[in-house]
Amino acid sequence: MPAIRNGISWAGFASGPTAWAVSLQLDYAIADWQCHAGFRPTALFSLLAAAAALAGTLLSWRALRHASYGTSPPLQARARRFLAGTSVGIGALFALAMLAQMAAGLIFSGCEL
Amino acid sequence: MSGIRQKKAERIQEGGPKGIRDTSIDEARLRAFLAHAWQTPKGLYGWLATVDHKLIGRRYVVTAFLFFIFAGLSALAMRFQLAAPEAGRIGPDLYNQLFTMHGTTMMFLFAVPVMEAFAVYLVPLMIGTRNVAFPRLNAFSYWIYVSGGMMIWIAFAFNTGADAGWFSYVPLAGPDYGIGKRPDFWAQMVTYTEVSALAVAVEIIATVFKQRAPGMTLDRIPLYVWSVLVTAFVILFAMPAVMVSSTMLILDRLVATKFFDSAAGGDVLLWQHLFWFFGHPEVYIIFIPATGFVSAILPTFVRRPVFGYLGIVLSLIAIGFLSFGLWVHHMFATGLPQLGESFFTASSMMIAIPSGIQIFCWIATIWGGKPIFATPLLFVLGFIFTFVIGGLTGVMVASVPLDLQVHDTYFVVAHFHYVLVGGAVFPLLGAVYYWFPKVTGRLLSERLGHWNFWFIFVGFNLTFFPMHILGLQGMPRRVYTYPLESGWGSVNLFISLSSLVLFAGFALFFLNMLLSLRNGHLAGDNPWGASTLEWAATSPPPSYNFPHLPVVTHRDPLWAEPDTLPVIEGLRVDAREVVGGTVADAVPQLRVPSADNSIWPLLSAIAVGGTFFASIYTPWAVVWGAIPVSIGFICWFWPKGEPEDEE
Repeated sequence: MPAIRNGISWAGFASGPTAWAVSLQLDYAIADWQCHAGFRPTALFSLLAAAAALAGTLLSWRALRHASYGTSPPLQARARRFLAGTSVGIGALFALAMLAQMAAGLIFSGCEL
Repeated sequence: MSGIRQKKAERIQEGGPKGIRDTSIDEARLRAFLAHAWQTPKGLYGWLATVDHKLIGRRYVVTAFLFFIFAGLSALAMRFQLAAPEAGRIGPDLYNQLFTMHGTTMMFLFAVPVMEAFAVYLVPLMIGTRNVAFPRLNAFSYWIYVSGGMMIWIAFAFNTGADAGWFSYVPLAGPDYGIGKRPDFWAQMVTYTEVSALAVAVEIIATVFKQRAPGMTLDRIPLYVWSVLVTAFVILFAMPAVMVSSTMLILDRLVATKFFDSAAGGDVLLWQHLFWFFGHPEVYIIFIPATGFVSAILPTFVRRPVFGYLGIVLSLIAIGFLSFGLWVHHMFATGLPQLGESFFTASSMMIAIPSGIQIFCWIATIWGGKPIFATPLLFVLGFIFTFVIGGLTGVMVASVPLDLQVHDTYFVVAHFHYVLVGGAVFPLLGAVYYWFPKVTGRLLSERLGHWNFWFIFVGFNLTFFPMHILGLQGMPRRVYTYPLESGWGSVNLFISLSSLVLFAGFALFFLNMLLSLRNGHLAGDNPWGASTLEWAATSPPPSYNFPHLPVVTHRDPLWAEPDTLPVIEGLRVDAREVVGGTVADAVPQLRVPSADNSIWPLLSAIAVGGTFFASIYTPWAVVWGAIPVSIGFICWFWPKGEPEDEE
């Protein structure tokens, strides 16, 4: 697919915050359940969400390397490059936030008061 | 103006394109036409009906600083009481009202509105347009804001001041324990100010997305404009939570709903979740524009472009998103599961990363430049020092065990004053010194400015740093007195005396403004040699901002093209028109009419405000109030045959 081959400039921008918002709400909602689940679902969900964020980041990274692809119109190369650069940073930052959440899910069993 | 009418008549007879364009007339006539089209009528009507973003922005700033003075005097009164143990100067009831009014005013009536006020004034100038999008909504927002602020302070004067803290927790503010109408006035004041803030947020988003000067692509938007754009989005998603919760509170109190009544199936913690879902982003609604001030002031006074433009934009956006994932760290002491709390600790720690990126970009900018230590830069340096301390204690209280120890103590008071005063008020004061010449045409006194900075910087640190120690010693917040045996008396006396130094610093600030308004040196268009578009307009700018709208070819347009900016032509000059362009690349798409002056925003605000006020006393006010509100809005939007109504 050309979109995967040449990247999507805004992918990290969308995937990072979205995956983080979903995983934060999901992890918070199932925090009580973890105690009885027999495994660490919050850590698993955080890891999956971080992977989703990183996938978007990767697409933005590709768009950064093919900044002139599919531009003019609708988007000039400089705007696409800027958007892709911002998306890479945001996607990576939110992936890091979810890895920190995952660490919390591994440290706490969920049975603590 | 007879020449203008004659020219219009000639054009109509010729059957040429609709209206008179800026392509075929000389500079003097161009300015006369534009001044006529964009003028605010003289006299009371003009004052009440204007939609000029500069007049409304100025009004917002002055009003916000008046509320700041009220809130500051409340704080001084509290320090007067706390200067000695077991002092009987102010009783517990008045003290409760004072700290509530102080916090409420600072957060809802000063900090957010003043940041939005600067945006309303500066954004159109910085992006090269002639007014904000939805100018009448802008006027409406101001009238709603000022009426909400006046309402709660008049209520305070009649001993009905809010007294349950700036977050008005239930059940203290609920029907069982809330005294008289005090919590109701608080709840409705929230509705007024949030309606106003949402209106401004919508305007700012539309203005920045659609009205940027041609060529101002995403990567050429001034960093200050980026900061207010992110802030506007945060407002848009955060403020409805507190409007909903304050409405639920007033419903519980007025018509006996049970949203927050645990005994009847409601949930007390629901209030805290809703409030802090707004309350934590609120901190960033105040802080993010302040970082925009810093990013605007620094390059001018170190004489080089800001380091790491992309990193700063990325950080602003990341902070905007992350601010929505921290709210539970205000609720660590409510007994939530530790695992759940730990997720919010993670986000709270993570937000230090984009904040740190910004700080390092600013330090690198200073490092690579040649600093000129004028007053705006002093305030920026003061901000960096103070905010770093506030940020460090922020990381500390993001940790659950430490937060549980210092929760509701003066440690937290010290922390958030370092963040909010250091992180927002210092840059704000720097911004006043920086843009005062643009707004008034006169420079503030540098000599008084230096005194002003040092009094505030020293006074602030002497006042608030010892509060960390008081907090660690266990002194609780929101107490009107403390026992002699506690041993906190001498530190409290020191804090109270230091607050007088801080007070003197702010007195110097206002004195400098008053003196400089009359006697300040004439500024000229660009007294600091700055790089952004607002400095291309005259000081103060004319009603139409720019005779020709500029074209942007560089991130620092006035440094790249210091002599003459390229401009676009083809706009009407006999009617209010701006250019609408694409969101990412700012490619011009169409000429957009801009609304003329109107009295209806004020009249609609009176109808809306009257309805809000009456609904404190009766739910039927919402029903009957809908009639004048509807009439106001219909008349507001009814076409009046003006050129701006034409398609």
